[in-house]
Amino acid sequence: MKTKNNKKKIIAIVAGVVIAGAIFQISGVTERFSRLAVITKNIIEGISHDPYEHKEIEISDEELKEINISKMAEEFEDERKMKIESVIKKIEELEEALQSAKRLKSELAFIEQKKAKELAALQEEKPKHTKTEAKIIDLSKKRDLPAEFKPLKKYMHEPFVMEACEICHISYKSKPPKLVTKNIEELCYKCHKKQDTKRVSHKPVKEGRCTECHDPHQSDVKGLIAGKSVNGLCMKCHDSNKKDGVSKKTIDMDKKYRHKPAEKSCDECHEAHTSKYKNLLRREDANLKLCLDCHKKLKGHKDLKAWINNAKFKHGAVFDTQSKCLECHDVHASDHKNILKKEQVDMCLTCHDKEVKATGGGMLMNIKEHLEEHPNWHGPIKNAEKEGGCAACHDPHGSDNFSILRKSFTKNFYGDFDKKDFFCFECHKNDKIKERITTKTGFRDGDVNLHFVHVSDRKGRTCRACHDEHASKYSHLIRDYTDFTGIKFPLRFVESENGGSCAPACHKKFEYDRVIPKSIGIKNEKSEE
Amino acid sequence: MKRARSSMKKPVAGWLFLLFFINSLYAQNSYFELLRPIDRSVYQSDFISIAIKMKNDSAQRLEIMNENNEIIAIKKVTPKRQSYCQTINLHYGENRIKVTAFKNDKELSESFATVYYASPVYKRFKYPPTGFKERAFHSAENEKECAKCHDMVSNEKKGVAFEDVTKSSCYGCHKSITSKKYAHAPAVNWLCTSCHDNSSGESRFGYSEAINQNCYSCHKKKKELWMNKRFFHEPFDTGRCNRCHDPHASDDRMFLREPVNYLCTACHAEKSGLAEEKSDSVCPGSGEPSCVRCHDPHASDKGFFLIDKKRVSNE
Repeated sequence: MKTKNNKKKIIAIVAGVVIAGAIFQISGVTERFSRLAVITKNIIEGISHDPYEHKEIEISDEELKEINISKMAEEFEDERKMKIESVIKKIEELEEALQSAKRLKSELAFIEQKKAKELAALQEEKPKHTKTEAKIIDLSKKRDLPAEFKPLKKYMHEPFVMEACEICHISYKSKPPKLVTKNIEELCYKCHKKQDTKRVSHKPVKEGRCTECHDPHQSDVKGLIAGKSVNGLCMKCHDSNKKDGVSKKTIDMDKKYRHKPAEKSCDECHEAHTSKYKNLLRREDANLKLCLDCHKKLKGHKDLKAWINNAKFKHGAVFDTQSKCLECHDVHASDHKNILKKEQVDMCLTCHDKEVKATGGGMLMNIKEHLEEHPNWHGPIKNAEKEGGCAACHDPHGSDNFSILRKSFTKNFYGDFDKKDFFCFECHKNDKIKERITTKTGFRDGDVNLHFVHVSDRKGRTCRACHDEHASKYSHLIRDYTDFTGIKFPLRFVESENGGSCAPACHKKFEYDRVIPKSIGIKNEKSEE
Repeated sequence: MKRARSSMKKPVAGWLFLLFFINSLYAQNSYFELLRPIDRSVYQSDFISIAIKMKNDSAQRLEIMNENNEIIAIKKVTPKRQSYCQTINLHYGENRIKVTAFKNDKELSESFATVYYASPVYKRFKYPPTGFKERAFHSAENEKECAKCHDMVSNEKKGVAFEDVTKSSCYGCHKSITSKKYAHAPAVNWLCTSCHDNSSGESRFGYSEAINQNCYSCHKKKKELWMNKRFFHEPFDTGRCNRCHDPHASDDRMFLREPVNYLCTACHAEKSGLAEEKSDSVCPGSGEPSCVRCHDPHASDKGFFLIDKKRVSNE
């Protein structure tokens, strides 16, 4: 049933569609027909009328007279002029408005600039002038400089180069020209950063006396130094030879030996303005930095920094004191060699005038007392200037050898002479020791070398067993006492015309004579072991 | 005095003391008093000091005699001088000392004292008879008496020897201790307190029984050498170097108390004469036949303290 209904529906739809299509077709056709009708009508009209048929317009003379062409032209012309004028007027008006606007704008800019300047002044902003700008300016074109600035010097202050005198000066009428402010410090710090910022400041810096050291215009010395040189400037105040020296801290450079950096320029070591360290030093002197950073790389010097810090036996004066190098050296100048504060031996004795604790433990003898009590001194101490004083044998900066000796020396009392390191023979000839029979030495019985007897055998003795390397009351630096296992035994040396005698702990009293031998022989009976 | 009192606790010692007291009562005379030596004292050194205190001025002369009535010393008595001293030598064993006071060759009175010089070496003299004992001389009481004439305080500077040894306060009384062929450096330099350091406590100048630590303070290498050995000779082991060596002076090498063979056979009596019998070919080394040519008297790695040949060749 259903399918039958569906079929009827489909047929009805199809029929509907066909009918609609037909209607649509028909309506299109009618349109076409109407157009066709119009076209045909036009064609028929065309055929019926002659296209070349002339139609005349009839104008009367009166009508012609009425038409005044010139007048019309005039009228037209006026009208045009009117129009142009109005346009020009309009343009003029616009231009005027523009100019006034421009004026207003510039006025505004000026006001703004002024405002900015005022602001800058308020905020203490730096005036803008740069080094590059300064360089661009052609100095040859300088014209109107006052005579006092001629000829121009090597280094010039930038405002001076830029002729920006008004940065500092207000008027040039008075002499000296009036400055912007009387407070020089304030004036300088407008552009320059503050200089008294660190722990220690130079007094003129602290007090704002910048121009005392700097020339505000030009100078031949870098840093606009108001003087012929840095040292010249410094020594104005710091020369102890000047009676009216301003500073309490004075130095005397008028000496025989001068420290090169001090001679060259004070600022090699000192800051001119402010420093973290005492005496305005550039670096900390307490850690040996200042001195040794140079003295580790100087040619002809050993690396003192490493030497001082790494030496097995350290000298307290340079290692343990506060003043370090300055304990002994005058860093500026001195009349004593190696810019020492005193003559070398005296220098050493300033500390060694008492028993001093050795850095490696133990006590060091009071060498001053020893020298005072014993009149016969070892050559290097006696002729300190020529032979090197204490430093001939000791290295004041430290050493790997005990007693900071420059070279190793045996610590033992006994030992094989050949194996022992005898520092003494750097200066003394050892053939007067080593030859069994000789006349080279005074210590002989006949020609039997008693030096040889003492040093040759298995129990050969060190030089220091009998000789005191510093001073003695006997001649030939014979010791008063020899130290054997912690006990001091006197040598009891007696010198005679051609010989002498000894009665130490080692043996009984033995005599020797260079002319008439006492023949005590090589093999002695020893009382001690 | 302290020692005397403490010995009283023992009945035997008490009897002895009584005996001594009675003896001293008999010996007591009105002319002089024999202060030192105290009767029945033992000495370790071969000399002693005799100290006499005068009671009045009647005596003119004092004679000191030994047990054979041989005069050892004569002291002239000067008026008003109270004390007299004399150093005399001893022989091993008992020594009887007689002191007699004279006036115009007339005997006034006499005193006796018997002392014993004990040898640390010879067995015969090692042990004194009963009743004899060591008495420390440097006691406070004695020193008070001596201090009238002598400086009883050591003037030795620690660690510094005398430039002039006669300046030593010990030298005056003890000088004979070094008057021998070989003298030991500390002794001859009068560094007495380096050993006599009162470490034993008996006397102000006592010394340690085991003296070796004092010796080794100088003889370091020897210590090193011997201490590493396997066998130690008894005197060495107990640290009594001074049993064989005289630390002051000796007529023999190495400061031996006796010539070496005598020294060895003092203990090893059964080996007496053995070294001399051995022919030279048997003994290594050179020199006279001697015990120490084969044996090391201190220490050795080998049995019988035989010497290491290497060391012999090195020597």
